[in-house]
Amino acid sequence: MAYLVLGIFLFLIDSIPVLSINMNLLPVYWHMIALGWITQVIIGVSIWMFPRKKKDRKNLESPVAWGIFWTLNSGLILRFLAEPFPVLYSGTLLIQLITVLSVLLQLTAAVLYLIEIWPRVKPRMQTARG
Amino acid sequence: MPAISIWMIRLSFLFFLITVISGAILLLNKAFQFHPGIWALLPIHIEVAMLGWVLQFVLGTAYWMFPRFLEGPARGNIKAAIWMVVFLNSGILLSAFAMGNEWVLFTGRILLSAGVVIFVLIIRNRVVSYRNLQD
Repeated sequence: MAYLVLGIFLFLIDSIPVLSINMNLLPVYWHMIALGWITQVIIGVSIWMFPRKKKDRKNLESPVAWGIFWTLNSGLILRFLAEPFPVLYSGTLLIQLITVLSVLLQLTAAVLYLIEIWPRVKPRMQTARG
Repeated sequence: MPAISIWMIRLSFLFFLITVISGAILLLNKAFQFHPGIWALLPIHIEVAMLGWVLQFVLGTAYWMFPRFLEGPARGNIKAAIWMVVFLNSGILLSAFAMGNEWVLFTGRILLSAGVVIFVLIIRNRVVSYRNLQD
C-alpha cells in the first residue's frame, strides 16, 4: 500500500513540470505500482493462500518467505534511490554500485519466490467434485 | 487446484521470470549504457509483465477460487477453458515478441482478446453467492 500511495504521489509530481525537472520519475512510479504494489500483493496473498507444504501448516511463514520480503523491498528501495539519477550522474560509480546491488536483490527475491511457491501450485487431495 | 489454474499460474511464473530478467538487463543498461539496442527489450518487458504475469495469474486464480457450480462440471465447460489458456498464451507470446511486425502484433491481440472473452463467458455465472441457498 505504501508503494501505491508513493507511486501515485510521484505520478502527480511528474505531471507538474516545475517539480520534475531533470528527474526521470516515470520508471520509478511505474515500478512502485507494478512491482512494489501489484506484484508484492500477488506474492503476499499467494504465500498466504496457496496450499501449504505439510510442515508449514501452523501458519508459520518459512525463512524463504521472509527472505523474499527483505530482498524484494531492499532491492526496490535501492532501485528507487538510484533510478531517477543516471540522467544527472551518468557513469557515477556509486549509482552503478547501487544499481547492481538492487538488481541482485530483486533477482534473488524472484528466484526465492519461485522456489517457495512452485511446489505449492498443485492439485488438491481428490474430492468428489474436484 | 484445477489443472487449468495450475497451467495458468505456472505459465504466469515463467512470464514473471522473463519479466524480471529483461527488467534486470534494462536497469543495468541504464546505469552502464552497454548498448542502445537493449532498449528493444522494453516493450517485451511491459507486455510480459502486465499480460503474462499479472493478468494470467489473476485469471488463473479466479478460475480456481470463484464459487463452483452446484451441478454439472464444477467450473463449467472444460474444453472452453483449455481454449482460453491456448488463446491467451499464444496471444501474449505473439504480442510480446512481434518485433515491430504489425500483423503479428494484431494476430496476437486478437488471440489475447479471444482468451479474455472466453474467460468472461466461463466465469460470469460463477460470480454468485450461495449464502442464502437454504432460504
